Amino acid sequence: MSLRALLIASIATLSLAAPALAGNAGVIVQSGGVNQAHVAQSGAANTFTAVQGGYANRSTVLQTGGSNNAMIGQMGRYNNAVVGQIGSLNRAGVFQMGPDNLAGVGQAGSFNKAILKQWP
Amino acid sequence: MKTLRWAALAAVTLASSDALARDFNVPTVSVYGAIGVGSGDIAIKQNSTANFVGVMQVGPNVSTSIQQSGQHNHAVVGQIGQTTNATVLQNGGSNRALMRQMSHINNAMLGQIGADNRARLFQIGPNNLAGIGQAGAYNRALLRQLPW
Repeated sequence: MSLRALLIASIATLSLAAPALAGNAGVIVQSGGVNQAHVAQSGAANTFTAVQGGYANRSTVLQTGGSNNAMIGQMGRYNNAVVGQIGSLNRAGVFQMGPDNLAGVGQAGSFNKAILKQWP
Repeated sequence: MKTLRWAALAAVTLASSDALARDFNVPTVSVYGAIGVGSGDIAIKQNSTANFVGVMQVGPNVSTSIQQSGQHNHAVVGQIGQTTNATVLQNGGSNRALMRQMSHINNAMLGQIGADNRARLFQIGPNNLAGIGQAGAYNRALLRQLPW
């Protein structure tokens, strides 16, 4: 087996094994005028998804552990999202739709990936 | 003239008290507390003006489902075991929920529909799954998930 095939095989194993890992999964959906969500997850694998629709939206997420995944979607007049991830594999996505968007993503780890998209 | 003014005032007062007597709905209060030891399921449904519920469960497999419909809804749930399940649905003006779970597998679902919704959910265990849905003018959610 070539080195490349070995690498691909190991990556495939990892991706299959990831969902079976024990960890935390959280979902918050908020719809209204003023929405606030504060989340703290700590464990081997952390997954969080938040969707907020309202006049003012605020989300704060802190994930510490091996594998961290956070996705935040906000639609409103004022959108505020802060994500902090500390782990070996960190992925964060923040999507904001509104005239006033503020987002911050901090990642510390071996593999970090962040997507930030803001629309007026 | 002064007598006429007093007569008008008296008429207003009488009309007001009469309307109160006929239209005033007596508020109802429901307070429910349950403690379970061992595996089991606790289901509580409340539809008073003000609803208060407290559930504490300790056992291998415990589950609770709470449904509250009123102007003020308060729910406190504490579960300790190997597998915990909790579902809370609150519908009314003001909704408050506090849930704590500590076990190997924790599952919690919380739905709040009202003007003022506040939820606090704490899960401690290797496998934690939580869902919070809020619809209202003011929504606030706190989710904390920690390993065992």
